[in-house]
Amino acid sequence: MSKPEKSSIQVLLFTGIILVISSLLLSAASEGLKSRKQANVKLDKQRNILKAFNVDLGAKPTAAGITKAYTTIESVVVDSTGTAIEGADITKLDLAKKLQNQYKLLLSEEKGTVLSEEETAGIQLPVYQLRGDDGTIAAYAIPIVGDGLWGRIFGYVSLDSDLNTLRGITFYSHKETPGLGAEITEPWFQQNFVGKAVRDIEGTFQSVKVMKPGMADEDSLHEVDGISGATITSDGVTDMLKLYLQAYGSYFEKIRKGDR
Amino acid sequence: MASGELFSDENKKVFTDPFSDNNPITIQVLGICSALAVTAKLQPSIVMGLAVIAVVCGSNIIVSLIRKLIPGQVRIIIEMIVVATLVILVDQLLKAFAYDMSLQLSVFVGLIITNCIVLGRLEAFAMGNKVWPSLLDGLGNGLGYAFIIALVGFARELLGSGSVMGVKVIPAEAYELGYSNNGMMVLAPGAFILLGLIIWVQRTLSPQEES
Repeated sequence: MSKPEKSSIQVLLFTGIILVISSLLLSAASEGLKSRKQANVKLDKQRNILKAFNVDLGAKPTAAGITKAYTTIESVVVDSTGTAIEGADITKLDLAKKLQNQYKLLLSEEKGTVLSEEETAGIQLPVYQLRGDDGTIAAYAIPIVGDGLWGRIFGYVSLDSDLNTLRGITFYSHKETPGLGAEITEPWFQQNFVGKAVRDIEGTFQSVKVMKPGMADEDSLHEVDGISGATITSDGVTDMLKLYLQAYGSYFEKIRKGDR
Repeated sequence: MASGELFSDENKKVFTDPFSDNNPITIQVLGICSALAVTAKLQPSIVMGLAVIAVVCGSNIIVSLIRKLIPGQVRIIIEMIVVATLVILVDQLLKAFAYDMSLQLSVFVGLIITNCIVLGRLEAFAMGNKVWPSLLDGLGNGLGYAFIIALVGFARELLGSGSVMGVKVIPAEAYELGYSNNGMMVLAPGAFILLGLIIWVQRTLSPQEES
């Protein structure tokens, strides 16, 4: 359909009106749905932490169910020496960006770079504690970050109160290949970790390694079966576990010595 | 569209054509990017199909309503603004009401903006037709798209993960007997091959004049 050409003023006016209507609509939608979206993000985070603790939420967890289950969880923030930081806000800490920065710091420290005082002070490590029925802390969960094949992998890992036995692991954000690396989000893979130990009988730190599929020694408490066709993702999980279990080492050590 | 009847033969044809003789994916070969990206599982394929239906219908209606006012010089820009606005709205709604699904579809909802089917229908149909036929055209094309990607999603999930809608359907005994999921089906090449097969079948059933 051929259209009569319109004057520049008409074109500008029309485009302007359309743009204003469009922006108004989008702002209204964004503002109107804001609280719902934030609630979803918060709920999703709580669900992931509960999942890391291996808390059974049923097949289709409801919002109320998650909120109720989450009341048993408390959180603290510790510095790199394992001392709790007074007044640190864990909700602000857990932003993906903060975790990314800390990940870079921890990684360079592991590779031998000595961190400046300022950088060390910047390391604020969140810890989630699960209260058992008797009021004592039954388990601890920490966020973990690592590199997969296509991008960063984010997750949580939880330890029993002995701070040695793995209680659960979960990954909530990743860019791995569906069917290969993305299998890290599947229950069969995550269940491999349950019951594994971070330290050997002598108490030496061993971490838990993801082996090639079928190569894990069944008797070993420090090896789990990996995913075929996803070696780099598996190695990424191995590395992130080691990095973070070490980073939280001094905190865990303090608790083990009974100094909370 | 001289006829005033809502379900005149002409209108029916506008609605049903995109299912078979003029399917946006298999005949026009549009919207392939998302057909490859989101179809590893059935459920996201269906949600993606619904999102595209909503956007095609919505933008067809709006553009058809204002088609006489749109200046010819900036027509594509205006169409893109309408499409982009609707896509962002759909994305926001998914984030608010179907958060898990929006996590799975991630960037591909936003990429509906660049889905050729949407702009194609606006240019080819909504710019020159009344509102009601435009709605039917959008609905037909949206459903034509949704049907094909649901088909691809179903086949990929079944062959690649051994499940349908997340429920395992291949019995454990089959795996013990040596059956294994086809890893290629969960990757984009699997979708390519399936789409090729679907296009082959479609074109054999309703031969087209090659242009």
